[in-house]
Amino acid sequence: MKLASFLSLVLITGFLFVAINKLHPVGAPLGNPDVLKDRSSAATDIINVNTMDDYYLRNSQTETGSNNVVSSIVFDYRGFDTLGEATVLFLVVTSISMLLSLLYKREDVDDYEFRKPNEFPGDVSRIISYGSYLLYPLIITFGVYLVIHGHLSPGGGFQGGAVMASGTALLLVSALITRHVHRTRRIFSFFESLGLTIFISMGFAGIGTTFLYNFLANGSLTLFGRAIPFGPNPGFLNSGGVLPVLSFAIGVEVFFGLSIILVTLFHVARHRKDME
Amino acid sequence: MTDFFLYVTVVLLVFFGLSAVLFKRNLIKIVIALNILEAGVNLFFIVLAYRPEGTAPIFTLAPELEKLRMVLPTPQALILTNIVIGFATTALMLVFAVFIYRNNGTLDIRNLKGVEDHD
Repeated sequence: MKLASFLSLVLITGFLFVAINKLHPVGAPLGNPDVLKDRSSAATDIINVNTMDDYYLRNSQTETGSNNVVSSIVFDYRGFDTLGEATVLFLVVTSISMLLSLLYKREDVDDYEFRKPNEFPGDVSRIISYGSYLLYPLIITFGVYLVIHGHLSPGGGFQGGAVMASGTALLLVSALITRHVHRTRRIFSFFESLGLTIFISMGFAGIGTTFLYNFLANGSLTLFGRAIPFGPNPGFLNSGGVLPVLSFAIGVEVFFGLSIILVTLFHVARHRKDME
Repeated sequence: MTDFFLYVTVVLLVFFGLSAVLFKRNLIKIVIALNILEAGVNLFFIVLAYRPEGTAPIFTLAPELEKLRMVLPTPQALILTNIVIGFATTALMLVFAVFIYRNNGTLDIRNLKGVEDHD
């Protein structure tokens, strides 16, 4: 058995080493590296554009109104993929929540006390309590900024949601939130479902053309419809079409989904500790 | 060979992850090894997409177009997917580890119920 493992390991690694020789050298991918320099060609011009990535770089601003090409791929060109990913996350959160709820009784849950920093429990330092009390609003603000500016700067729904969920982790480890854990979980799961529902609704809203069509881009100024010409610009919040809406929906789903995972795991750990 | 150095790093990461999955006995270590393997895959995508002097594919406050080069955006979008799914599957695997520990009293895969020793 050990020999078979060893042989398969050597075989797979050998195949990977052989496959390296068939790849392009580092830093020389397919496509034209100077694809952005020719300003004269119009958005639909595909001269000098011989790969999918170069097409995205040239046309994402005029087609989706998003400065961030990665966001325009995640939420527009490959929006269906993102819907599948959000569904996988939803499924994982549901199964973790279901499995771990087998490990504790409901009536043990509501006994915990809510603590303010000055009523800190014995096992948590006062510095940690006060520090997280101050840090939590900043973390949430940063996460919301990442979500709102997803189509302009690095960030987006996934990253912003993960940052905000780290705020939940901070509250849990600093013992600022321990009571109402079960009730929190119900509120969290409602908002998580709401995020996914908004995403799917936006997909159906564009179904006149195709599912998840960016029907708001290059439309009304108040509805994220500002037209963005090709090239660098300072960034305009009211651009991007459905991208900011989808980013918001994903941000809500990721934040509350990861928070459910954290709260449930914390809850089981706490419960086990109390039993000992 | 310097052109392929980063690819070698990718293969080494996959090698370490895979060997730990195959030879480690502790479930927690296997979960960590799978994360290392996933890091190798992510690095592979990044290396594929790299262009010399390329900036992030974001036009906000970018340099003027004559000087502008950008790395390929699609692999970055795929990695975004991979990271979130990786987090979710890691959490699920750890929950399974919790259940296995409760049912067997151990995390050693040799001592699990119903597992025959083939060594």
